[in-house]
Amino acid sequence: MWCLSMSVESEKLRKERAKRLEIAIRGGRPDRVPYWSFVSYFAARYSGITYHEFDYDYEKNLQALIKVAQDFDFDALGTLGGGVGIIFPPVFVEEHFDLMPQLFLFFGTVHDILMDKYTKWAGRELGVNTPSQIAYIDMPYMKEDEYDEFAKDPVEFMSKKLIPRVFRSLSDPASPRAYGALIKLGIEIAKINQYTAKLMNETIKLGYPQILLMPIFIGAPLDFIADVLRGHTYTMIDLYRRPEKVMKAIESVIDLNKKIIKKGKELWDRIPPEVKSLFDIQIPIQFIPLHLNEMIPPKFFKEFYWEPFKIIIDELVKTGTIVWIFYEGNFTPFLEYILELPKGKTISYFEKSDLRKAREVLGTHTVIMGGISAAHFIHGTPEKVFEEVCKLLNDVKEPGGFIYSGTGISIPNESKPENVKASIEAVKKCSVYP
Amino acid sequence: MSSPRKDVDYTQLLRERKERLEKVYLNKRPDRVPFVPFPSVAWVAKFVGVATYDLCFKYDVMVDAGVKMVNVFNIDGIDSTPLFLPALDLSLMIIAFADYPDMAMNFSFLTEPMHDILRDRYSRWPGRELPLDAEPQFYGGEFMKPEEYRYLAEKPIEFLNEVVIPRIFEAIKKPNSPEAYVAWIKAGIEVQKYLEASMKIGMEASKAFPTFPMAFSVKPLDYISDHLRHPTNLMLDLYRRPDEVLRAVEVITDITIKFQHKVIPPLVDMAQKVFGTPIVMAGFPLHLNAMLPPKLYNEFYWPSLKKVLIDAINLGAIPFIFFEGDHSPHLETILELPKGKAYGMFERTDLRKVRKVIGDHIAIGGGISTTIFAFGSREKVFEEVCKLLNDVKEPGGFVFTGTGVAFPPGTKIENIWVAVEAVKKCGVYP
Repeated sequence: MWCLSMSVESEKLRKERAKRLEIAIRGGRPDRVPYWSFVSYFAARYSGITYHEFDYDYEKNLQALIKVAQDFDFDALGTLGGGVGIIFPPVFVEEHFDLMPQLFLFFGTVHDILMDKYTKWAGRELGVNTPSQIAYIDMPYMKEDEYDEFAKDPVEFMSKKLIPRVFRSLSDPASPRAYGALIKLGIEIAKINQYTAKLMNETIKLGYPQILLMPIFIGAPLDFIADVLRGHTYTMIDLYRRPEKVMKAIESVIDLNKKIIKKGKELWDRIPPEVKSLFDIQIPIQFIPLHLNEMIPPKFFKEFYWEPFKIIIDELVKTGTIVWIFYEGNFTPFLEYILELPKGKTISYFEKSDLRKAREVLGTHTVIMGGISAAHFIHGTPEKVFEEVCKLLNDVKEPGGFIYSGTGISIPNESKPENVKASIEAVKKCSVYP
Repeated sequence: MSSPRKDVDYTQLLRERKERLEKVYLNKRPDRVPFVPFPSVAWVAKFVGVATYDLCFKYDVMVDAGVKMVNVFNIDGIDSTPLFLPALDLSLMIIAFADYPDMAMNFSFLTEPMHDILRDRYSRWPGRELPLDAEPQFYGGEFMKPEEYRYLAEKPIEFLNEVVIPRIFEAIKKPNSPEAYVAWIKAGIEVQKYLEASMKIGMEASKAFPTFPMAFSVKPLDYISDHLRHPTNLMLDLYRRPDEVLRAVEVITDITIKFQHKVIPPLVDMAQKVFGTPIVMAGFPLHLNAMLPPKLYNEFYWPSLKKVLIDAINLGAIPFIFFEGDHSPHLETILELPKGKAYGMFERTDLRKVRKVIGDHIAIGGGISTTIFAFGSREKVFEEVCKLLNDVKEPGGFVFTGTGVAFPPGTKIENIWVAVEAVKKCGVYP
């Protein structure tokens, strides 16, 4: 009987949380502000495992996340597996598109197999308790005189040149090392899929709503050039020295992304109803983290960064997708630009931007998402956290369309658990809409 | 789904089965002859009531069928999991991936989902090239030109990976293309799903039947014949370019031995620590053996095979040699193997003759005529099995396998049950 009442309780809780979150995502005014958290190594520290174990051991990772899900009362729990993402270049646009959502990989096991130069991992190149990170070893992966070649046929370029350069295991594509690495990658993907299914089952049991995201990964075109091909420094130099080449490459990335969006929506539409019904929130949501937004010199921002990005947003919005954009760093000086995006179709998640200012400038044009400074979670006291969260919520929760994320980077790895708990209490107390 | 009967002590049965099989594979004399059945994939599909295609393609169907088979056959008189593998041999990769033994092991078989993805030209499958209820077939083909023997001998790994693999697998035609990258990854996903399904069946089976670790190895001349040249062409090569064939065989033999050195010792260790058994099998299903006259067999086939078999034995494995067709002309060569260290299953060789020629030199196995086993009357099956057992079971080291091959789809279940009765009656050692 206890089990039965437990599951009824958790289902009720899940529906309540899902409703709250969905109303906020659509820009509305739920009963109170939803708390949507993203948890990474915080879970490792909280459950007493190393960062390395969190990145490499699916079962330990799972148990750590379940413990957090159990002990903290968030409205939604976002997780990405291990520490840092490895993107396998999107060469699968024409055929086997269904593989794409499975190729955004967040575990060190994948790094060991592919030996990518994009990342460094806890317990490998780094200490066992150092967060895995983007490394860009031997950048650039595309030479300065290869822009034209890339622009002409990005898929061909990525297949023949980029992949062998970035993934040490694939440096000779017709070798047993490469064949074996790809097969192993497949084997690992199957294991990761099992992990994901298990995590979903467990969090459903604990009353966490499940959100079905768009099955693609996509970004701002200039970010793609910087993150995947040229590196940030070289991209900046290129903007001065060969802007027309950069622009041609951007156009190519836009075309590629248009195809990805089209195929992604088709894939979304083909998800069988019995699978979709497992998810509480079935709005196609596309997450896009912006990287260069804050670093790029203002004279290039509009033409090279923002306008191409807007084309991607428009493409996504056309398919009925809500675009959830992470503005890295401090985007406060550029806030007005967001008014150019379609109204009511985006969630703007700010890392260090001033949220009060954002509300003032943006009003209800976009859903706003964010939190207090990460320093409060790491170094502060529960009282101070409570106070800061309440102040923030009082200032920005009205007139609705606000999602609280903890801090600008959600739950920092080194957060004190009591501070995280205090933030949850604060949300419950100070975010109720009258 | 059937479940085990409540009134039987299954731990006791399991203990007896393990002891019986261990003894027999070590060429000793157990309490009675063990019955190790080998159903074909198509037979299992028909028995559990699904299309062979579904059994080859859907992992949940595979698991359900496996669990049902384990439970239905968990009766006294059956001694081993009625193993059916909806997979074909892809030992091509054992040599191609020789430097990566874990991959060589995980990728030495081909399933129907993998066939769909890699689009190999080796095999034909139900619901694809074959009718829905057909047994999967390995056809092989010509993927190496006669003048390329020297590449195989000089740079075997490069040649296999750069030239042969793109020829065999349509999807790997261009190894640095998106199609090729995707195909390998997707094939890997299917490998894992298949291994998970096998593991689930294995877990169920291990409650009733003993587990002996097994690895398939390479028969050097078969390797060239099955995977590279096709038997018809190989026969010509033996006359036209014998030296080149022998050189290539030698190279493949060396790589096989290296592979065995990497793979067998960990299995021996696992057998002892995990399964508590000294038995580790190394699988050698022979193909060309019955096609070759003794002169060619002795010159081109046997020396390399013998070398590989003895190596496997020295590493602690028991070679499980399947002698396809009629092996009568070559029986004496078996005497060149160390005594009591291998197990030979015979497809169509007269077992009485085998006994006469090799005595108790290695453990042997086989059964009665396939036609009688599958379609004969119950009385006839009982009579034939008893006659066979009376003639060959002594002095020990004999495994009854029903018939010499995986039993065909039409095989009557009552004939299997009557064979069980016959084994229990006539297979007991005094």
